[in-house]
Amino acid sequence: MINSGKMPNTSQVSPIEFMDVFSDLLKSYDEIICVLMSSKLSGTYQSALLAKDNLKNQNITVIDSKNFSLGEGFIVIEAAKMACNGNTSDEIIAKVTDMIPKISYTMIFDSLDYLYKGGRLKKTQAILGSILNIKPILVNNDGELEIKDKVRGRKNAIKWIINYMKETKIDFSKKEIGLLHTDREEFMLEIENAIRNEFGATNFIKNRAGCTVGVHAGPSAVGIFFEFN
Amino acid sequence: MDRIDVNTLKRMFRAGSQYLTNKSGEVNRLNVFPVPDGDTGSNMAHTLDFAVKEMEKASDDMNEVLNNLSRGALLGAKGNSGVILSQIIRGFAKSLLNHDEITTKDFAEALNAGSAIAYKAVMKPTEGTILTVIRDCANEALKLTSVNDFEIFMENIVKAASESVKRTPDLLPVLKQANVVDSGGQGFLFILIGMLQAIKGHEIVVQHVVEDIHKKESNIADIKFTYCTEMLIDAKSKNSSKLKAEIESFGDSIIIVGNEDLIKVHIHTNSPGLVLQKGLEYGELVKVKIENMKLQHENVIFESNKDRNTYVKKYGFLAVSPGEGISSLFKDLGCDIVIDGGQTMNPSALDILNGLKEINAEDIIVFPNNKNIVMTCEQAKSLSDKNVYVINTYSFNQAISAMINFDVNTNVDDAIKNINDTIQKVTTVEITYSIRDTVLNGTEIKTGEILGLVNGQFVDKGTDYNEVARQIVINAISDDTSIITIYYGKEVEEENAKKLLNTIVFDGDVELQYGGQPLYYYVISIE
Repeated sequence: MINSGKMPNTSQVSPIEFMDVFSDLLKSYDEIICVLMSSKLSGTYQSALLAKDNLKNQNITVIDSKNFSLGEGFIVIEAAKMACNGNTSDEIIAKVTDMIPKISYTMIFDSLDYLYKGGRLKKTQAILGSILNIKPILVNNDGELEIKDKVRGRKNAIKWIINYMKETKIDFSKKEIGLLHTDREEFMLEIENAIRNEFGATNFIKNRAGCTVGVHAGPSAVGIFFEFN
Repeated sequence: MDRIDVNTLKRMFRAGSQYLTNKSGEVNRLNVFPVPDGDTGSNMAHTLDFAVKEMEKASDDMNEVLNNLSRGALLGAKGNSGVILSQIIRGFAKSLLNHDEITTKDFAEALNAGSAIAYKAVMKPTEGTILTVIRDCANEALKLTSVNDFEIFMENIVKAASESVKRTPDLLPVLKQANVVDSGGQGFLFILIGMLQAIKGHEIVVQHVVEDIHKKESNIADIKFTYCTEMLIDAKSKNSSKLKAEIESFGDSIIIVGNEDLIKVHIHTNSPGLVLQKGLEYGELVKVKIENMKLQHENVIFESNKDRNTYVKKYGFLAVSPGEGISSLFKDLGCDIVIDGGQTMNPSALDILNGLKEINAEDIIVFPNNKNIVMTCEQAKSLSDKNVYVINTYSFNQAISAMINFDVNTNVDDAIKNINDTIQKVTTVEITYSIRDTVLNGTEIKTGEILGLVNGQFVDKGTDYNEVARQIVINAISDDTSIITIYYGKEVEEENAKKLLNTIVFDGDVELQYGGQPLYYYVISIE
């Protein structure tokens, strides 16, 4: 009954592909809840909506996660768990809708060049990075990437993350925390350690970014994902 | 002589300026720190020279002469001593307005007015400096108003100035320790001596001053030949040796290089047509380039600002940079105007003012990046009608940190507060060398030894700049240190800088950056 949106590809999934998958699934399931990467970052959501319209099927729900990668994953996992527990689709959709604005992501970059080139960041935002080890920090603003701050060096970046997490007043010892990297595993592990030491967190989902994120973020990013209370 | 007329006044300022220029090297060497950045003499000479040049533009009207002197000094002011000198001249000139002739009493009052204004211009007046010397002169002059003859009057003032200069080490312990008198005071004394010579009817002979290699003097008035003319001649192996002699009289900066067929000619001339004509006698012209260097000069100053005037942005930035690497960082960080200048090439108030004019922003933040440029920037601010905020940065790395942390979304008061908080957290290490034998904080130092300074204070010496730098940095690292940036200077090979980089190990980041600053092997920012 449940199918998550595919993990992002380098080219957006076409409506036809969605129609094929949807049709296929409808042979064995009653309903489809399709959770997809932020519509501000990818056209995949639009493709799915088109597919749904073409199929004229009321049992397909397409949801904009306003997130990506592990953030999107958190939502999908929760929805899948509920489906396995026998919750109704209305209940699942209500839960997913409630979760979406609460999933925070923070991305630390070495350079924003790739994001600009891929059109994932508005040109009007201050261009920084690439010099003096300046690391721009981006956060989720209603599905869009927004430059929140910039720091110099790894140590300051970790300090920033810890402060940011502290300010949420969340008890992270019981929280699931997603960590993502594009060719920066060492730095990601450093961040993990800092979070473990500071908050006693133990529940980490770690991942190397998929193609789309990898392509658009460039080989220099680390992301931290968690859900606000 | 018991009256000074406008022409005598002009002669006095010319002579004072020339004498100071002749002696500026001597004044430069009176540096408290034995580091190679003494340029008080050059700065004061530039300031006065600029004032005199403005004066020469005036007619023989006394008020016009005085106003031009005052304005010229304010605009031409370089360095702290230059700024103070410009304020003295301003007070002096203002006091003498509306006099056809000047008596010794007028002159004494004018010196006193100059002294008063100079004291007011300095936030924390320090005794044992040029301020003390001008005040002592003014006091002596006021006592001598019964003397009508200017020669006797001025001789006594010079004597008072000379004694005052000798006393400066008693008033300022750093001078005593360094075994020098105050450079600004000494410079002021030289001006008075020059003026006395003029009163006596003597000319000051222009001494050939060795060009300071760090000076990038670029006065439009100094451009004798306007057109930089280059041509490439397909000379079909004609002998080019005669060509040089033929065009020599057309200009200067002639360079002629030729290989088998091609002759390349470069000349600065006012007659590019004649030069090309001569070239044609040798063969076909393959390439011709003629550039107006006066226009070029103007472009050099504001190169990066072609389309900046279209809209008013919230914040503008002006920074003074001591090296090309640092300049390009400032530009990358969004600095609107970067002005060359550092330890030994202080910009004038006019340079800063011209920069400010080019910035179209509600609020302009200025980073002097040298303690000797702060007052010049303040002076430019007072001459500008824009909202200017001068930040007291004594090294460029503070400004770089401030710019990185700058948040355009804050109001100006908070922004300034944040900047000041940021620069407080930066520790600056400078590695340079001693230019004379001396004793600093009880340590004996020989000429040429490597000196290490932390936040402007001498802390260590040695013979190897990498070793001195490493020692100081290791000692300066604390638990709070998160990033170290090494800006290596013009005299340091990248390979050597990398060696230093590899010897500094700690759990944060160490960055190596080309700064290109002269005289300072390294400027290291610890944050």
